[in-house]
Amino acid sequence: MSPSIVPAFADETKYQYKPLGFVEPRRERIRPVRPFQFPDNQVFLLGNISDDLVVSQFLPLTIEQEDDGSYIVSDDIFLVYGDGNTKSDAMKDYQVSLVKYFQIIEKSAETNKFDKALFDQLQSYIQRRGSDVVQTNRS
Amino acid sequence: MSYKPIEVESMLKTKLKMTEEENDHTWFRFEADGLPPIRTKISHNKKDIGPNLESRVYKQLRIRKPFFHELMDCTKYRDDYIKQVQEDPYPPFSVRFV
Repeated sequence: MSPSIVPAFADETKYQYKPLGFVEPRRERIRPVRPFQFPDNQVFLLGNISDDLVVSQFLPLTIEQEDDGSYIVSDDIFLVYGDGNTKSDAMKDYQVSLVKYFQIIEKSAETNKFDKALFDQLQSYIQRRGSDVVQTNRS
Repeated sequence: MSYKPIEVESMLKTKLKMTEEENDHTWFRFEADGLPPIRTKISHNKKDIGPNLESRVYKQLRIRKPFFHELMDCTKYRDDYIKQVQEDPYPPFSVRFV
């Protein structure tokens, strides 16, 4: 009477078709490492936006395209936007809007407590050139 | 359905009683007791306001898309807007005053 081979555990039955000692490579764990890339529709604004205003901290902007081919540039912090037929035009319009927004909030901050708080936040991103905050950062 | 800039501007001025900022024809300001000033910009560069641009406008107004459409379609009014912004501004004001 020949001995019968009975798996010790039920799970072993699926490995009986492989040669003894064969180890299946765990391919699901091998993934190529890709360098981090920002999405194509996101950019950061930094530097001069007018003769006397400077963006001193990276301000994340989103670029979107409308169905008619025009572009919208906007931020999700101050909710300012600009639009134009090209990305360049939309970016220029955004900068003009941001400068106007800064001027409006700056003036209103003198009398409105809510705008005072908003202006403090705005100044963490935008300052007048030559202001104390900019000089402190440079030194 | 897309709206024209002049239609949105008309809604802001007549229905919400928003005023122009410093005689600027693009920025409008809304004020109500106990609320931070709400400002929005209307671009006059286009014939129709597309979906992306529209989303920027109703975000500036601190409301969601359906409510904005109801304002435009005259099923919501200034009092509804004040109540909406007081109870459930979106995006919330706290984001701006962290």
